[in-house]
Amino acid sequence: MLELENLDAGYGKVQILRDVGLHVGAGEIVGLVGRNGVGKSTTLRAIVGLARRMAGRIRVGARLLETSDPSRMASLGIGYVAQHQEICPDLTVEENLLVPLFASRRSPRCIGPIYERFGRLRERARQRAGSLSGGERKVLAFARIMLLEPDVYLIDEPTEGLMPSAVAEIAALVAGMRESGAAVLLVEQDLGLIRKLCDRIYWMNVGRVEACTDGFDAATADRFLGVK
Amino acid sequence: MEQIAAQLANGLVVGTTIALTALGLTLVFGILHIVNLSHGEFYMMGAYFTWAAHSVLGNFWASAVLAALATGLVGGALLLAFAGRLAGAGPLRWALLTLGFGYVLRELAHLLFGNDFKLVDLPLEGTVPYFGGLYRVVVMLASIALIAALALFLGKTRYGVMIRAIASNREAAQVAGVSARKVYAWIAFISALLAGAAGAFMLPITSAYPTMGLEILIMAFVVVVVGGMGNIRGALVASLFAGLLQSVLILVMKPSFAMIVVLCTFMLVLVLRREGVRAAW
Amino acid sequence: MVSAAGRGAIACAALAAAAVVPFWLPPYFVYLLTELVIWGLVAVSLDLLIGYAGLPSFGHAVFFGVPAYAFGIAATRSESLAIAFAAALVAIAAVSVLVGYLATRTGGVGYIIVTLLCSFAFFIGAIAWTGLTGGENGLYVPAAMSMDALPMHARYLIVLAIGALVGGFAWWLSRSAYGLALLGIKANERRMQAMGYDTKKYKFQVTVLAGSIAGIAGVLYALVVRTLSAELVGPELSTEAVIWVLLGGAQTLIGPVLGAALFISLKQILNNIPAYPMLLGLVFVAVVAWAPSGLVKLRLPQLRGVRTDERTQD
Repeated sequence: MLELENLDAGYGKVQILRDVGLHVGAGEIVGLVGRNGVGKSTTLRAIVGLARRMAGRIRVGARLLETSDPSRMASLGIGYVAQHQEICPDLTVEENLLVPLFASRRSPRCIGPIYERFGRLRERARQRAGSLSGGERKVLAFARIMLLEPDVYLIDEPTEGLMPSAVAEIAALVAGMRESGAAVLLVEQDLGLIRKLCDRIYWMNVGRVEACTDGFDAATADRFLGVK
Repeated sequence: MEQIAAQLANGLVVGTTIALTALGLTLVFGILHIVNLSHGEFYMMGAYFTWAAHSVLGNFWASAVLAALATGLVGGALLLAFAGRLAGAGPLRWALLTLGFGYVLRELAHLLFGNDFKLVDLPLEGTVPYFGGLYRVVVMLASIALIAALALFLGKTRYGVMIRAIASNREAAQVAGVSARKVYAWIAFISALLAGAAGAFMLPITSAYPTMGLEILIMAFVVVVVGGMGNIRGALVASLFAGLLQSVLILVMKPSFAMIVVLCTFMLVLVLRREGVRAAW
Repeated sequence: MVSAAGRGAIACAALAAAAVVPFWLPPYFVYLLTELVIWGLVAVSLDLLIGYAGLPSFGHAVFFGVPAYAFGIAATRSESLAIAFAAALVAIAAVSVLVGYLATRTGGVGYIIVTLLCSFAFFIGAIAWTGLTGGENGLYVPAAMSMDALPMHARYLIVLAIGALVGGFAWWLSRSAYGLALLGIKANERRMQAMGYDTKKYKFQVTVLAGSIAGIAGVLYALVVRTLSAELVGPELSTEAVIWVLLGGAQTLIGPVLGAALFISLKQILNNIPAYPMLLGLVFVAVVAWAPSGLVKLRLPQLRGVRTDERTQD
């Protein structure tokens, strides 16, 4: 579903990714793991056009992803949940949910099912999104992307800074994406989550993907993260 | 007592004109992150376009509408044309670029229309108690209507939500499918249109001359900065306050001194505020 | 490109040439050169703020014009050069403190606007306060209180000497540890604060310094040109000074001087063409859009845009 070939990317004149290659199939959760600063976030951002692509190819479905305009990603079936600043804080919860619907010219009534699923969001519909707690923000961030039913999910450290119950909730959400047949590329630092969720894992080091394992492997983890 | 009431009424009229101009400025600040030092020249364009259209059409209101739209297109296009080149550039560079724009536009006006005042007769005769001319009252109401329309547009419509989304968090809005480029285009257009409308309204009162933009620019900037750059409500409140203060002070001092006092008052507020003056971004 | 010693030699040679060449030029040109030196000083002082301290001052004329006016007003009223100089000194101090304080309380866009407003306020004040400043008619410094008694060349040499001294001081400062600290604050104020620098103090000090240099230029102007008008404190001059700095290239000190010379010369030369202010404006827009580092740093062929912000991210 998602394929990266020989991708070079970075910001401005600074190159961060070198010759990155990976693929994610439909209905699988693939982890992207590595220490801080190796380029995990940059990989996701390069796909959606928030980082500069310098060389290489990206394929979504069978098609080449030519555009690097972030505004077009949603319509191409790519859903991106950023690590920080994932929602529009000055808008209400409901408006945050309406934005993707308005942008894709879908009916505002599509909110209904989302409210069904996430009761808490309905409760806070008129609240300013910036005033939500960390966990609720993440749920909102996921909800607004899930509204568009993308084929590919790019998720960047969704559980960072969240309390355990929120982490579990997010984990369930991500697992649900797999059930629905989407391809999920998940950047994570939480080893427990990686172990639990990821079907395959790409391990990164200094701008390159250096290894790929089927599921969690302690030796590789030690090599790339420096922990057991 | 009557004099004070009259000046307060005048303050409302002045305040709404400032507000109309300041709104465009603060929108472009807050959403496009552009310091537009040529915004006063958009105001000037509105006045000149109205005068030009009026000489052909004879109808003031039709001319004003056309002029506002034309200013919106020209001003908006000017800002957008360089948006790509200056992507990621800081406020200083935009300030310098728009400084250049203003310079060029002023001289263009000078070339095309000369230095003399271009006049149009008041479209409405008659007076209203305390407020003075009927026309000024109508202008005030029209300005308020425009501002209200903008508020409604931003607050309630589909596009308004998308614009506010980009303003709040550009990347999050983009990945949800909102085109930043289109939003920028709309905001640039609206910003110039508002300034043009203000200029058009003022034409019968002040007539058109090349440096008219500079005078309103100063006030607009003060108001935008004190109100909080990018903060619409703040700009509106500050505009009203500026209009009222200036009008009341004119009772006791020369208009130029009144302006200085207003400027100093605002600067004092700016500087003494705990957070000083920082852009929201 | 050129070594520091090489640059020093070039500077000395240029200075010597500047001192000697005018003897072959007609008095009018010498007068123009004198004015250019004065404006060059203003440009240098503004570069200290914009290019080194990162304070984009759009109100620099205030530092120049207010001391000039103070000198002129005191000269006409008191008939004493000493008092006139003292008045100028007080003015420099007062204005520097005012703007210096603003520098510590505002940043970036806010600073641009507040300094612009300052200049505007002084401009209106100069026009409105007719009793003090002569209003729209301006103020004339009496001949006895000026350099009128001296021959044109002598005036030029004095101004050049003062300019070279002050300019040299600014140059030395920019290369010292102080200059480096300023650059640090310009690049990342928070980091400098974290390293223990009192950035507010630095910003205040450099404002006073730059203000003093511009104030000296202002007094020289009063002594040589003798005609003072509200434009000397207003936004038009302030923004033109920014144009000089940008045209020549900020953070070079010599660039702004050249930028001022170029712009002013262009104004004189193009004076006869009816649309010349517009041409100047277009040239300026072109420079800002395509050569933002200024002409001094321009290297041909250089047609690709220069990105000024690099974002790095984890």
